This record gives sequence, C-alpha cells and structure tokens, in this order.
Amino acid sequence: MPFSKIIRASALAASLFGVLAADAAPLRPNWSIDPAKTNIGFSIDAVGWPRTVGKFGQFDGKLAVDLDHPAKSQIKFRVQANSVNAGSDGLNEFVRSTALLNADQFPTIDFVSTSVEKTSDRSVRVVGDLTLLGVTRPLTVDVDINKKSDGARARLGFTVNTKIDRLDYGMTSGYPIISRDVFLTISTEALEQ
Amino acid sequence: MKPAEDGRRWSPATIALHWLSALTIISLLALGLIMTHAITDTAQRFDLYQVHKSLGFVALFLLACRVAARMISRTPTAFSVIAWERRAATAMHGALYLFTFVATISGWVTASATIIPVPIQFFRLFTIPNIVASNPALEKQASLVHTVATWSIIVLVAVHVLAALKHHLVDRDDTLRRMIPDGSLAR
Repeated sequence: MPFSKIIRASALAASLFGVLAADAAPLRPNWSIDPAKTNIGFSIDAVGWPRTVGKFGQFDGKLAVDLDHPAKSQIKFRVQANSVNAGSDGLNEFVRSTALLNADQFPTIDFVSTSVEKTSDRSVRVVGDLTLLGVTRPLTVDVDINKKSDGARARLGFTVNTKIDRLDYGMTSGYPIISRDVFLTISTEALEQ
Repeated sequence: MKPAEDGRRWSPATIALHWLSALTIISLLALGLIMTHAITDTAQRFDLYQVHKSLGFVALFLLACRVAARMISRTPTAFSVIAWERRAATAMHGALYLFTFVATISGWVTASATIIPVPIQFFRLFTIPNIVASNPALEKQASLVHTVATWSIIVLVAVHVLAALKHHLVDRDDTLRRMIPDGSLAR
C-alpha cells in the first residue's frame, strides 16, 4: 500500500474512531464561553439586612451544543469560589470563610449536565449535578437561549434564573437569620469554535 | 503649682481621656444609627458594623483608663453651691460611665451570641474572642439592653452638654473651661 493511502486510511480510521468516541466521551466542547459577556450572580436575604447581591469573577465553561439534537448537548461549568465579590473586602472574606463557601477547602463550585431537553424554540431544560462544599446534588434549570451572530461567528446567549437551598449542601451557617434560598442569575454568551 | 494640682482643674490625663471618649462615643452613636437605619447596601453596612465593633472596644478601653484616672487623680471642687446640683453632677458622671460599660458589654455579647459567625476583628488587625457562645435568645436580650443603654447615653450626653453650657453661659463659671486643655480659668 502506497504511503499516501496508508495516511488516508489512518485518517479515515481516526475520524471514524473520533465519531464513535464522541458518543462515548462525556463532552467534546464546540462552543466557548465569552468571559466578557458572562455574569454569574447570586442574591440572598437575611433578616434585618438589605438583600446581599454578589457575583463570581472567575469561571470556566465548556459547552457541547447540538442545535439539531439538543438532547445530545452537554454543559460543564466551573466557578472559582475564591473569586466571589459581595461588595467589600471584609464581606468577601466572610463569604469565603469556613462559615459559608469554605473556599480554601472547596475551591470550586461545579455544575455538570446529565440531560438536556428542548422545551421550546428558545429554551431548554437542563438537568445536572451541582457540587458545592463537596456535596453533589441534582439541579434542574430552565435555560433561555438567544441565538445571535456577530457577523463572523455564531453566538448563543444563555440566561438562567434559579434558586438553590444552601442547607442541602451543608451550608447551614447563620440560618435562619440568613435565608436558606440562594437565588442564582447566570447569563453568558458562547462563541462557536 | 501645676494646673492639675491646684484643685480647680481636671488632670491632663482626665482631660485627654474625656475628649477622646467623647469623640469615640459620638462616633459610635452616629455609626450605630447610620448603619442600622440609613445604609441600604449590605457590604457597606457589614463594613460599618465591623468598625462599630472595633470602636466599641476603644470605648471600653478608654472607660477603664478613665476610671483609673479618676481613682488616682484629684477631682476638682464643684463650682455649684447648690447641693442637688452637685449630687446631680456626680450621678450624671456615674451614669455615663455605667451606661457606657453596659452598652459596650451588651454589644460584645450581641456580636458573640449571634448565629451569624462573623469574627470580631479589631480594625482587621487581630481577632477578639467571643465573650459567650452562639445563643439566639441571649442575642435578642443583649441587643435590647444595647439599644436601651445606647438611647440612655444619647439622653445623658445631651443633658451633660446642656449642663456644661449652662455653667459656661448662664452661671459663667469655669466648669467647661477646666475641661479644656490649657484653657485659662476665669477666677
């Protein structure tokens, strides 16, 4: 067999293997998060206090989006707990402390999708696992999708509004003065690779 | 004869401690009212609470110094010849010391007993230990005592200032002047 044929055959085998492997592999990201257009915010109430609003500055997201078959899409999101910003150094230090995020021991907050279901032309329901303080619990979120284009590349805007019960993750400090419900507002834009 | 020893003037240490305490207590009262009633941003309010706690320990330290200074230095003779005024002045000073003590200790108990475990950090330099364990019922009681003591101090300070002004402007005696550093005495 000529050398060029061997190369071509190898390439075909590799691409076939790639397709098969894609089915088995958990994630093959084809969209990347645009950090400049991503906001991971939270808010929480406490008795006698104004609503506390904050956000996380460091995160990483991997998206495998299949627009034709949304169920095949996968999402992985990782947030650095230390990057929390609640408005002042003193309050940030408290939120990062063992009382709440315990960021030294649990440096990341992770979400990994387990299934994606199309609910309308502009929304999907994502079921996944959220790991916070080392505790993994299922979380279902409704995601609004906004297809855009900046001319050269396709963009997908995602918006999520949900809430979690922090007690489920063992974050019991300050309860019931500090509410158990933590509201999450996540908006992000992904660029096609 | 040194001014402090002439029996008419407070000692320099007492004068310095008086004005430092006045500044600290008025700052504490203002901060307390502002942080609980005027600030609508959590982070700002959180930061002001930490400053308020730190200043509370400054007030407690100054109070201990003042009591010590009162014990080791002579109290100048009162100007008033009216017995009830002399008694009222003594009672006023005692009440100010007492309520400052109650307000600072009840604040410390409140900050310690709360179930929100924010450590008491003295101006973010070092941590001051909690005086009691977390206890919501105790926090409520201590907070009430703190509020009552605080409003009592506000009333007492107002009366104290008005009395000093009355001595200065109406009686025209040296009651106020002798608490001013290097203030010349009229008689």
